[in-house]
Amino acid sequence: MVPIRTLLDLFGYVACLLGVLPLYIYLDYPLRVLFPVALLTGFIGDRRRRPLLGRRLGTLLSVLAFVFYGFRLNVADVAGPAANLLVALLVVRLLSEKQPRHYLQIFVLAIFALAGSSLLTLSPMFLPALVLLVTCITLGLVLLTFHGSDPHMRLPVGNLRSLLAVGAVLPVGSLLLMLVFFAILPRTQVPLWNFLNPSPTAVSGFSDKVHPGAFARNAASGALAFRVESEPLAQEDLYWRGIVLNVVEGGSWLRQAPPEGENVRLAGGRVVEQVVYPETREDAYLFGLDPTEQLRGVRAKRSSDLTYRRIRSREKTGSYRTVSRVGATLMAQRVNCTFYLQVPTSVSQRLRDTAARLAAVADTASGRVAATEEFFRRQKLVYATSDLPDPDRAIEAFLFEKKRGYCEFFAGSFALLLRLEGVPARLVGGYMGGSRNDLAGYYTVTEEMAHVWVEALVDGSWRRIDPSRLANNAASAEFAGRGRHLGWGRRLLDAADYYWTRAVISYDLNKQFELLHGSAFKLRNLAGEGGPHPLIGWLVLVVAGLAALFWVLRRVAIRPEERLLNRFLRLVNKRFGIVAVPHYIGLQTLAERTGDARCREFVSIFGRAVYRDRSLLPAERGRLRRLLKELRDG
Amino acid sequence: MPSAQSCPIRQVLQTLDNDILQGKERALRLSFIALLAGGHVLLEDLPGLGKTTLALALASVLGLSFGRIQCTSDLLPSDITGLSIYERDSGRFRFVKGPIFNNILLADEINRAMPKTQSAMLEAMEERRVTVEGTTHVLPDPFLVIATQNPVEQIGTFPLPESQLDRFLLVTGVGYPPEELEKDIIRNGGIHDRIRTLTPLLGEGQLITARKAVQTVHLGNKLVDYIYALVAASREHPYLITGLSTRGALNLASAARAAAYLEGRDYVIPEDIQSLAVPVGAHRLILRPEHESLPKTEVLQSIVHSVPVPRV
Repeated sequence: MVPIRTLLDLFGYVACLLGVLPLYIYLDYPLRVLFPVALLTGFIGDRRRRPLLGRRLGTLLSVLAFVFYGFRLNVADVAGPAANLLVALLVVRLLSEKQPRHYLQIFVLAIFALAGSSLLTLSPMFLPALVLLVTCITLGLVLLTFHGSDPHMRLPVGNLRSLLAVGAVLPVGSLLLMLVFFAILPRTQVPLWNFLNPSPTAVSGFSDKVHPGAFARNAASGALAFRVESEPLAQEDLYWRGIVLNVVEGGSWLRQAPPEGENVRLAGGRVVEQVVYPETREDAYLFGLDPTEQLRGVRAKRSSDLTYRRIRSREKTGSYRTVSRVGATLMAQRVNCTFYLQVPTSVSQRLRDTAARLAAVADTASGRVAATEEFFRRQKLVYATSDLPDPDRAIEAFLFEKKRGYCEFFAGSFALLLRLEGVPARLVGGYMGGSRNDLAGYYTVTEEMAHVWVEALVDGSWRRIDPSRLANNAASAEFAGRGRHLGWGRRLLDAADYYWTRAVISYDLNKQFELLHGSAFKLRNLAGEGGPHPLIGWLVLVVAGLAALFWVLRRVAIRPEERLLNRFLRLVNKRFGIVAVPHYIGLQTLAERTGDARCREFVSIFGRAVYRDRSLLPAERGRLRRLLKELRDG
Repeated sequence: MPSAQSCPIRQVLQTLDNDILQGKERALRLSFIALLAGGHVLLEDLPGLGKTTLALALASVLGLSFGRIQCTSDLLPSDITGLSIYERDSGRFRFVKGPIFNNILLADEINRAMPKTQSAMLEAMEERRVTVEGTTHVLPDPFLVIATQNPVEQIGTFPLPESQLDRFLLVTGVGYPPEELEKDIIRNGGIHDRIRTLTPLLGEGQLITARKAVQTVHLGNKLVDYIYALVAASREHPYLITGLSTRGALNLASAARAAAYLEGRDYVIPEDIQSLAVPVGAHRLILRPEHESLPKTEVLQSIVHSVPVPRV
């Protein structure tokens, strides 16, 4: 015998957990602590039948939470306080006494909390949480009706099992419906709240401005930048081109529109196609494997320096395609050399002297580049992200004193030196590296892989130079480890997230139809003629879903005894030609009429259970199945 | 539940059926059921079909005492129950037990007795005791009355009223024996003499044990529902004024238990109820005047066919 109350409590806790978990990281710190504590305390209180909070105190606290978060509500941030308020109310509910209506409140709050989480994030956790929450609440509501009629009701395990099985039909049905609606209802590819209110928080990692030493410490996060579906590539080819910075102002590298008339032509190289799934971000630059030749699937403006910028920065896309030519030569045409040779007037004399010394080594650009590389090696620079040079005179301090810095120091100083030496140079910002996930065949690029390198105009083509590789510790430095293989569990989680993004977030009905059309076309070619219409695929899916639902309903509604009997009657009909058994004919009479010993045994075993008001024992069920099999085969 | 071989009652039934009372299978089985269920039997049939033989054989084989009353219109209640007579020697009244003080009582042509006598006997059947001149005498246990009546004779009879008929657990006929068997009987003579020399196959204790076992036979909820459905259907039947009473339903349940026991089962199945519905129920029905010509057995059979059997 299981008390309904205990189960109801259990469903309440699970619903709370499922509702709050996707929201958890967006909560205020006090609530992050309070929620698990409330869950635990509520659990203990329920076991002892003594809630922590009285009714009045509970109401008072709820009102206080309303007032507190009400004041924090503003136009810039509605979702945050609202989510916090929901969880605060849940906490109060968990700690106070639970009447049937309070369970209802818990369920409603949990649903709202989960729905609220979709305003803030589109994590794949939402789907399992939703499925489980719907199931949990449906079953909870069914139990609540029992609890409402008698709070002390207890149910035998068998009854409970069938009750829960029948109750489970509702969520299963609604989830199937969800599958159908998914294809037709509108959806968002970004969290709704971000869409309404662009988040003001700066992205650490990639930025469209390079100022070495601007941050005392490079605080790049491990957040996902984008995923790229592509063939496996060599680690050293993994440069993801995003932006070209071509102007130095003070200590910073900035971007200006490239000079008119300039152009670039790609020569040679291996064509690599990629599909990029970007995370939501506010800047408009689109990334692709360096050098990116084409970009499709989003309206973007291509610059002569092979950067792509979204035309409408508000336009959100789930994915786009790029075509790159790995190892191609960037043949520069009509380059305005003076543009790429500008240096700020504030450059120190020491730097100018160094550049002059290096320039004297060789006459050609390639010779000067080699000399500068040699100089970097000689300086024994260290790649580091802490204890960085002073931002005011970052380059000098980096090159001559501290001799430590990260990619922006390396690239910034390298490009500046080249310009001083008379070699046109620019910075390219993007990402370097990527973790290959072989489970699904894609690369994951995170914000900590943000990188800056140099392009120098050598012999009429832009040559990629990565000065960070000249660091003394390049082989062992942090950035060399980029693209290391993640652990099995991480990779699996990431793959799940990737498929979620691919199948759900960036779902596009038109694309699916295209895909279906494509496969239908292929099928037609294969079969010769008469391929299926894409709609037929959907219809088949819906019909199959309904059939599955019907099957589940039947399985759930029919007891094993009934199923066995129906099979028996069908067999008797088939084997002995007893077509319609009148409803007044008992089973034994029927078995006597067949004159078959197996039928008699079946009826005898069956009757022994059924007419004694008990279920069939497993052994009996097994025997009956064997008898039916014999009857069918024999 | 013991199997057919090990249960003495079933052995006796088989012996009787196979060796002694051939051709009376149904009546014999019903008598056993009545005996096990603690009820009484009314045999409705013509004279000379072996009703007495049946009762006698039953009594001798079971080792029970046997009494017989030939009912006539001048039969007095005291002829059945017994009476007190004055003993001149001792100067006291002594109670002389009547034929009812036997385990098995055959009341021949019960419809010939006067209503007063009938009701005295039927009351004794129901109460299982007799009160004569202020003293109560308990009747022996087991106690089975096998009453007979001739359904054809009308003159000089007092048909049992329905309320009295309700006291019989079951009513059945004996029927003519099959042709071969009847020829055999003609050829070799009856078994009347042989019956007197039959040795008892069963002790009194065994019968009582069996009756206790019958009471433990499981009557499932589905079968209770089934019996109720039958009873309810009979009460709503358009041809009937009254359907089966609660006593009728109760009797059907206990008869079904006994039938299951005789089949070697410790639970009742719908067939037990179906096979006994007519013998147990038909005589309790009262037809509407416009349908009086219909046989009650047929009406009840149609009711049985109208109620679905519980299968799962």
